[in-house]
Amino acid sequence: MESLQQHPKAAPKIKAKHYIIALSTIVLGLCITLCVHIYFVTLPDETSVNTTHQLARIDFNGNLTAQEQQAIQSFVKNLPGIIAVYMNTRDNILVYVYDRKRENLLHQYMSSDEGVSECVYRLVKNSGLYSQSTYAQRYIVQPTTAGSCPVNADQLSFYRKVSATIHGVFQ
Amino acid sequence: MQFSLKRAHLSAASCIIGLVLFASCSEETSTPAPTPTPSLYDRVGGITMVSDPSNPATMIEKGRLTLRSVVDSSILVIAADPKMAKYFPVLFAELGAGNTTGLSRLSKNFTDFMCLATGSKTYTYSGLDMKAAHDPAKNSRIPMKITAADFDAFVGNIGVGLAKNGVTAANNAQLVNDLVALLNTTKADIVQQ
Repeated sequence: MESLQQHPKAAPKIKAKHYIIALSTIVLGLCITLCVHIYFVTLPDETSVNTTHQLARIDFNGNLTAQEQQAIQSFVKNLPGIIAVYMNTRDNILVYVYDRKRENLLHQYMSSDEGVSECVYRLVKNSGLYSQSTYAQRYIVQPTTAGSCPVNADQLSFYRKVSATIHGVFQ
Repeated sequence: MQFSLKRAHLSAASCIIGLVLFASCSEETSTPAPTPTPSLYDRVGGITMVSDPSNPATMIEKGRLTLRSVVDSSILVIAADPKMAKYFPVLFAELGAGNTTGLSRLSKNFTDFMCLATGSKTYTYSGLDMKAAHDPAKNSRIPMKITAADFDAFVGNIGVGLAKNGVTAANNAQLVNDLVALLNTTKADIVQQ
């Protein structure tokens, strides 16, 4: 009779223990899921690799010889931090790409008030690799409200804005 | 008894002959499974995973890596083409102001488009369709309609981008022709004047 009276008291304790274990398991499971999710979301994907790549252009007004074109191209390509170089040999236009994360590699050449493109332009201009009759000029486009490449159009879309916001939260 | 043994041997022999004939007949009648034609995406590397040279910590499909390299090279060529500059004033202005978002997005979107167009099952293109994307009335980011001559110049620039990645008409005419043909399928939508 006594043992029968003890059961009703013990039962809630066991039930409570079960509830705590179940709840803890669920919370732990959710925490693990969240951690795994954050890990995968913040993994650097290949599409975010080039976000620090900067492109610049120098136009040469005048006739460059093939040797001069080659020399200028090699000179810029060998500057530290420069990733890629292309010379339009028909129009004498030089385009190069550098990584903004590696700008410090050019610091030895840069004066305090210069950016990379100004520095590269000055180095090219003073290199003596082409005839002085040719005038080199940095290609600068002033901000405008005109359009850009249409392949880039979806950045205005609702989906793009939401994705960017969510991505920003995890970065 | 001898007779029955002979009969058993004959039966066994006829069974074996029957089986051989059946097997040989079935070989003749079964048609070999057709080999699937590899897509352009397969031909430029496909889904084989390789380390991304831009970020060795990540893996990338070889097909996408090839197309991304071609796209990035082509962007350089396009940026150096005075005929193309009029279509990219905002991009150049952004770059001049130190904003590289547009450049990386251009690279990604163009690569996505090329992946999808060449037959990738992994990547999708989330931008506007080609007709809307190149219509100034529907896309405020494009300043003007594209001429047929400029489209041809653009395709030529992609050819130079391919060559910078070691693919030329001289060493792989079929691949160059197929990629150019693929780009030309968009001409009717892109050229709207």
